[in-house]
Amino acid sequence: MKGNHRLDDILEECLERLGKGGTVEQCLQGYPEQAVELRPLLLTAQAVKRAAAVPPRREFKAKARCELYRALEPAAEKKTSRPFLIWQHGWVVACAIVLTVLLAGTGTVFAAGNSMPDEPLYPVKLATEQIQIRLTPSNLKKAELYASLAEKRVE
Amino acid sequence: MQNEENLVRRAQCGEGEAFTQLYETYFDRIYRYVTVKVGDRVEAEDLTQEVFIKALRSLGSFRWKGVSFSAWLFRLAHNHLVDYWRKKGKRIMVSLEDAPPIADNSNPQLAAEQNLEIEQVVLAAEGLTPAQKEVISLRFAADLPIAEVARIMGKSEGAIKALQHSAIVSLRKKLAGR
Repeated sequence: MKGNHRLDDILEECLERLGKGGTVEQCLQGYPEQAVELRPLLLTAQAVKRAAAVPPRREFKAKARCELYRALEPAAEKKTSRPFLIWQHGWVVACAIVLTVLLAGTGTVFAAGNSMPDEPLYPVKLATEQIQIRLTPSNLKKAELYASLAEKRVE
Repeated sequence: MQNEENLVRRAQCGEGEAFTQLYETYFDRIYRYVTVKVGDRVEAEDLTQEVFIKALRSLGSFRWKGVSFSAWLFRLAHNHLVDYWRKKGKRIMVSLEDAPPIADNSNPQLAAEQNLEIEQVVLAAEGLTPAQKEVISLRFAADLPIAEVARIMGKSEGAIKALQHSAIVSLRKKLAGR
């Protein structure tokens, strides 16, 4: 039982190493006594992991993203359901752009582009992105914009 | 993690872009997890989509108290699959005709080490206990570390390591046709 417990740990340690780019042989060198038992398990684990790495189809991913934006929209639509509010909303956006440009200045907006959540310019960055999103007319373009903003964040 | 906590908070306040980032981070992993569990890629696509819509709707109920967002999301995916199977009344979507043969009779030992198809893994995993299968799905398909799998399954890391070991041994036997 104790031996099995130890092998559980060794197996996990080797799987971690494989996940970080190590090879089966490198793992086995560290545990010569367990090598015979360990090798087939590591090879099976590797094969299973490779097989399980199925990427979603591109078309499905794009469609799924659009569905998500549709699901995200109801709250925004509620806000613009009355004509007066649509008009008002347009003015808010226009004012926000003018104010952003006049008060903050193009340089600040540009500098805010790379700011992080704990930095003073981060709210400017969020506001600029929101304006970009609001000004994008179609759902598809919005989807693309969301995706590109998300990618920027990950970078 | 701090960044993810911040993202979750913003998403809970209705910031669509924050939810989109969480979605982009977890989409592929949830899809692979679901695919390994249901064994059918088309069915997995619909289910993955449903998991995220459900996550979006119930995000307000998520509290960052000892549970990470990823643990919450994978538990939600697990529960969604349980509901799905309950309604559907079956557990496996791969038919023996669709799946490539598990072992090459001429060299059964090597079969488990060569390039496998996902359908072969799904079929082999049918012989596992539900807990072993969950560990394999979370560890190898969703690519989560042991600690995270332990949190999701509500077990100790030692218990997860033991399940992982026994699951790989069973898969090896099954894939090698023994």
